[in-house]
Amino acid sequence: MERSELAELYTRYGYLVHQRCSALLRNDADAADALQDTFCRVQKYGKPPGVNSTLAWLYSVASNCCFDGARKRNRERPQAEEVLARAPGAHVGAAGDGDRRAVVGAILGQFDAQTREMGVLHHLDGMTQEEIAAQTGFSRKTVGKKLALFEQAFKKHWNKANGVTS
Amino acid sequence: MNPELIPIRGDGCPSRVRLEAHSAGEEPTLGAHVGLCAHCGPYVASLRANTGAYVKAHPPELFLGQLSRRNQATEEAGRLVGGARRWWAGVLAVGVAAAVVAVVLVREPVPDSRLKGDAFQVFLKRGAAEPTPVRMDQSVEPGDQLRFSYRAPVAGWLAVFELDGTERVEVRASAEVSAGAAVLPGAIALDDSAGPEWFVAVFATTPLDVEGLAAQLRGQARTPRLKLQCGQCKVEAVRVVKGAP
Repeated sequence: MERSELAELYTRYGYLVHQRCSALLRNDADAADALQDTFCRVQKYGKPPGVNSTLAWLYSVASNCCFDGARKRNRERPQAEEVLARAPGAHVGAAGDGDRRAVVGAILGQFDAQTREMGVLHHLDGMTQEEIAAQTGFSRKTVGKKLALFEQAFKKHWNKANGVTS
Repeated sequence: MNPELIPIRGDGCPSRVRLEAHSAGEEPTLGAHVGLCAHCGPYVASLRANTGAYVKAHPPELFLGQLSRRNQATEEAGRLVGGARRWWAGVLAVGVAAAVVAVVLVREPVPDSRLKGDAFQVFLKRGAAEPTPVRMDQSVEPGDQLRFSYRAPVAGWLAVFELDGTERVEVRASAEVSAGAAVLPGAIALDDSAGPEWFVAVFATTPLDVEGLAAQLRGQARTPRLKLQCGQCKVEAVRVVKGAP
């Protein structure tokens, strides 16, 4: 990919991709590294044919980079959540959104690739179960089951983080 | 705060990812909805404002320069370590080696192994605390992050190696650098294995034989003072001791 094309992609999507990486990794330094990884891959492989949404494609590459990086580093909690909560853009969207995204990022590593993908689509991309079913090819029932598992882990982590005893 | 997993989305609103795409110029048909919606309008506006601020703070030229250096370092590292991924075996070996090394460190205090000067700095970032320079043999914990900086006296070539207790060597940076001080791109987050770990910076005014230097480092993880033969190069090293938190 040409340098000018890459610069244009970065200008339009760099912030969004960085935010996605922050949500998944919960660490600003790692997110910056993952952003670089993402654009390295984009530069190397280019945009595949038939891509409808450039952002969806970049998010997909970024997610892979984040999970690859996290696996390599083999660590789960590199930075305090209150630090992330203060990060620029952490609260974009709605009150509590940044907290929710941070917890989603924390528990993603517990799941298989399918559940993880659904968790990202639902909680980070904001898709409904029907939309996820349409995108992934799974039935809505299967999506519901996977997301229920995800929700269980989410609540457990959330309660622990907020000192709630059940 | 709401612990329920319900995406913040009004009735009839598009998904967050579509709004994010719209903020970047995709999905122009969403414009009519976004212009009227109390949920989506402010969200898209904030994304656009944040994108502008982000690009201003992180200009494309700077980012592309970082990519170039990273690509170069990755190519060097790829040549060096090939496709070997013996991570789990490494963790096990480090665990065993750590006990041995810990005994050695306790029984035989080692001299400062910083070889020359103070151009090479390793910084420790722990949690929300401000980064601090790492001292020789400083104890570090899993999850700590390390970053490196180097002050080159003149333009030249710099390589930074990581040598762990299993004698595994990784190239953390390898690039042509300008004169002056610079923080090197990328950070290392420490895993939960225990034991000593060396960080070695080699600088020269001519291109470095990175593979040759890495080969020389292997086998020296437990020596009190590293030895490198590299002509007129400048070598500095810092060792940390990884332990349980």
